[in-house]
Amino acid sequence: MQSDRELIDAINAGDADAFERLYRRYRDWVYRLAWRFTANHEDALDVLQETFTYLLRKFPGFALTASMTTFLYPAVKHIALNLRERRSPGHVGDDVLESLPVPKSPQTSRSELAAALGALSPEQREVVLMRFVDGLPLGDISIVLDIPLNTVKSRLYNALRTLRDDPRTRDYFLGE
Amino acid sequence: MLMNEERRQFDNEPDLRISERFSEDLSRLFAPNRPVPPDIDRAVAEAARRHFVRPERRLWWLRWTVPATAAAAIAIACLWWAQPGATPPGAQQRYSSVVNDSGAEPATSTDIDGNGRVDILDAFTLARHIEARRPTEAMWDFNGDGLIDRRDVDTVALAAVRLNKGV
Repeated sequence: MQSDRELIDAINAGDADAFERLYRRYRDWVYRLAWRFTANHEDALDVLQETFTYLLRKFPGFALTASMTTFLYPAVKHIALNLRERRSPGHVGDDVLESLPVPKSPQTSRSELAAALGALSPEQREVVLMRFVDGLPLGDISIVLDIPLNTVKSRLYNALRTLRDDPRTRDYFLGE
Repeated sequence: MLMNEERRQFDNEPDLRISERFSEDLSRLFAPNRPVPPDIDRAVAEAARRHFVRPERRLWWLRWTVPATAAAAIAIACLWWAQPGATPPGAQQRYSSVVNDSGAEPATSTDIDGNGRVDILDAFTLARHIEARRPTEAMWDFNGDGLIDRRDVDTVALAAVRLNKGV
């Protein structure tokens, strides 16, 4: 399987099929992230397309200096938040947590997990999601959010301590 | 100090070791409830193909259009010049007022190439004469400035291609 850099090189050489392969590799990741920011299926699809249109326009000549997810994350976030602002000017909040539907037959773990996450600060929540949902290493989170690595670690540390002390999420922690 | 110790401990802190289930449940919590439809995939693929169309392919039509247009223009010009009486009467009179103040018949003086018509080819012929430094006729001083040069070529060319409004 071609690496991201090999695909990028092929795309820079004009290989449209290589771009399609790159798209399929990151399509679901981008879509899930877009959905998290927009809380709306149609808007998430718009963000998905706009994100890859944005990426496409960088070719030829695109140089991948970090991981693809590190490059894509701020693009998706920016496009999604712009879209949300256009749809709902002045909307506060940058993730879908507050819009998650409450299950009719509550699935305890999911609703409790959502509630526990809601107790975190937005900054802590974002780092937790970037780490455990988006799979970004701490160093990449630092780059994407443009904050020191120690700040990332501090936010994550404090978030996990809060979740560990929360009875709704305590069971996730392995302990000794 | 305490915070630094806590940060160092955090890297290996047992109490904060978290199970894979946390990541799995979080991912399910934030998973969209519908997949990406195929038409989105097709749209992205099509956009990529359009983006990477070679410039030569984009401009292929120019490769044929420009020469074809030029050939058509030349053909039309030749057809127009070939028409009987294509030379506007006004052009001949202008030549006569410039070239021949005595009022003599001007027709053959401007028919430089001797084909029986005054047309753009006369301008070409004059131009070649000038460039090759061949002997010229005084009557070819069409603009009356005492010199036989490119300005006279322009005068002939302008008169030859000017459309007669009455035609």
